[in-house]
Amino acid sequence: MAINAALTSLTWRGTTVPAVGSVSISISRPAIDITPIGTPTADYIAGISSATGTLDLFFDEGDAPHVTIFGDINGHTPTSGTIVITLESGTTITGKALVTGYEITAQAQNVIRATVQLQFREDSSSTALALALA
Amino acid sequence: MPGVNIEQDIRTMLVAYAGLTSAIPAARISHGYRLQDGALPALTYEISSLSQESIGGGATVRLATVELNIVAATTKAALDILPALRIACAAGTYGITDFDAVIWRQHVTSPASVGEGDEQEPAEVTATIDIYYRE
Repeated sequence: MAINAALTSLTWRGTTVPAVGSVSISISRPAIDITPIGTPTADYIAGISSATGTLDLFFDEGDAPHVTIFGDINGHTPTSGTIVITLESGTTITGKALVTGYEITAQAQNVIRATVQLQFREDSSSTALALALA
Repeated sequence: MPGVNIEQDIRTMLVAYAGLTSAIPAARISHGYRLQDGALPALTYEISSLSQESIGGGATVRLATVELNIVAATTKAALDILPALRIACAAGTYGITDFDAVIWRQHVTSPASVGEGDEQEPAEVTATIDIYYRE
């Protein structure tokens, strides 16, 4: 079964973020090479997982969450936030993240867009995982 | 509560600017077509594409690409209306719809020409705009 990409909501620090053009989340776990010297075939063990995310927004300073997220990277005290993505199917993807990038782009014959980069952290308050799928 | 009627809201945007309706009476601004023997100048418009741009969270951002067609007896008469049309195509709230951004993309001029016999075809200036609105 395919799921429509339309989300029911995307919240940042408990507030719904409007005008989201796209969201993507990437989790990776690079393998660690533990091949002994002299062994002809490489061997690996699982490494440490980490997750990043990207939001593409139709930037509007009138949309308070857009400004909040900007403040979470630009403020004197960077703030981690919990992001909850609720798919149309009802499934949620939850993680605690730092805002690591906020790029505002104004291009001719287009609207202003903002690209937000997120670095997920271990969420010790709940699952101790970077992301929780429920 | 009635739903969004983007075609009607575009007309509301166009007739809201007196500078445009002083050049083209509001009765001659219509969606889709005009009578061939109708008075000139006239303005018709139609949506050439309509797409959903946001994936959720709050109101849906949609993009309507609209073609606006100024029809006048001469090329100069059509082009003289163009500045007013540019001003009329502005962000704002029309009906119940918020036009967040109205972007002028281009315009193309088709000069008046003589067709079969003494039949004369009017000049047309076709402008294309993008409207980002929320629904």
